[in-house]
Amino acid sequence: MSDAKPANVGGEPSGDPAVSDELELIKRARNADLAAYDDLVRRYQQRIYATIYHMTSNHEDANDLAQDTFIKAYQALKSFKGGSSFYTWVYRIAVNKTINFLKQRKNRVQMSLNDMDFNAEHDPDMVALVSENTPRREAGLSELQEKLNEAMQKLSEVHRLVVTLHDVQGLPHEEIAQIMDCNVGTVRSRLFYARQQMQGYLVDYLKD
Amino acid sequence: MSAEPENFEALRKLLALKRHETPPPGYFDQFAGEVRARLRSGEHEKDDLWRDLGDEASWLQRLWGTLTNRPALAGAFGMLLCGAVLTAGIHYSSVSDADAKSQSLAQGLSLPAPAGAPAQLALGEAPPVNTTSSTNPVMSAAPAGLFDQIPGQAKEVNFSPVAGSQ
Repeated sequence: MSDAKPANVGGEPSGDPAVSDELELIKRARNADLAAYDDLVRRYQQRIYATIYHMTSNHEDANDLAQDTFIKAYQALKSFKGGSSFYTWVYRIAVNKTINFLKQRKNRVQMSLNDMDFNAEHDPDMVALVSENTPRREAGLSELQEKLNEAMQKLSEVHRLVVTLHDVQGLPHEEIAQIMDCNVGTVRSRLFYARQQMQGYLVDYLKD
Repeated sequence: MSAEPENFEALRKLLALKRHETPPPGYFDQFAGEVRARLRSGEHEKDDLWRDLGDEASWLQRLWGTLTNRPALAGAFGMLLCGAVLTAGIHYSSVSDADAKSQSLAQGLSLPAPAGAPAQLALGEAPPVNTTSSTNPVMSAAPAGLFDQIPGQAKEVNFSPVAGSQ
C-alpha cells in the first residue's frame, strides 16, 4: 500500500512536503494536467482498488470500479472544495460507486479472487489458522480464502464496508466515519454487529 | 483463543489475511496508465449522462435494482405502467372525439351560405350536401339531425276506409 499522506486542501496549512506536494498536484490536475493527476492516481490506486476488491470479491469488477472512481474524481475535481482530505473524498466516491454497483448486482455474486501473495504462506497467523489448531485441519489456503470471502459477501454492504475498512485495511473509526458520512458510534456498532455475523459464519475456521 | 461473541481477536487475524489477496503482478504499474488513456480518449465525456444518472439520480438505480431483484414487484409495476398508458390513451381518444364533434358542429354552423339561401342556417338544418371537400372533414357533410337523413319521399295519403269493409 502507498504511504502517501493525504492532503487536506481546505484544512490547516501543513509544512509536510508530501502534503504540500499533493496540494500542488491537485491544483495542476484541476488545470487539466494529466501527468499531475497520474501521480495522484498512483498514490491512492492500491488502497482504492483493495477496498473495492474486498467489497466485491471480484478482481474484474474492482478494476472497472476503481478506474471509474478515478475518472469520476477527475471530472469532479473542480468541485472539490477541500472540506475533507482528498484521500477521504476519493474514498467516498469509490464507496458510493461500489455500493450502487453491489445493489444492482445483488443475488448474482460471482467471485473472482486474487491469489494470495507469497508472504501469506509465511504469515504466522495464517500458518496457525490453516495447519495447527484449526478444527478443520484439512482446510487449505484457498479454501480458507474462499470461505472468508463467502462470509464477507453474506454481510450487508454497509457492514461489509466497515469490516473492510477497519479489519482488513486498518483505518481508524474516525476516518471510517468521515468516509461513510456517519458518526463514530454508528461505525462501532456496525463493526460489532458485522463481526458477530462473521464469527457465526466462520465458526468452523476459528480456533477454540 | 476463544470464539466468544465479544472476543473477535481470532476473527480479526483471519480478516487481516485478506491483505495478502493481491492482483496479478504488474497490475498497478498499468493501472494509472489505463485511467489516463481513458481520460485522454474522452470516453468519460460520452458517458457523462449515464454516469450522472447513476450517481446523481441514484433513486433510478435503486428502483431498477429493486425491480430486477423482485420479479413479482416488476410485474406489478409493469401492469401499473400499462394501465396508466391505456387510461391515458382512452382519455386522449375521448377528448379528441369530443373535439372533433364540436369542431364539425362549429364548421356546420359557419359554412358559407349558398347563393339564394338564408344567411345563416338554423340549428338542425342540413347543410348543402355538395360542400364536402378535401379541406372539410366528411363529418361536416353529415346531417345535423338524426331524422334529417330520411329522404323526403313521404307522400301524404288520404286514408279512408272502404265502405262496407268492416
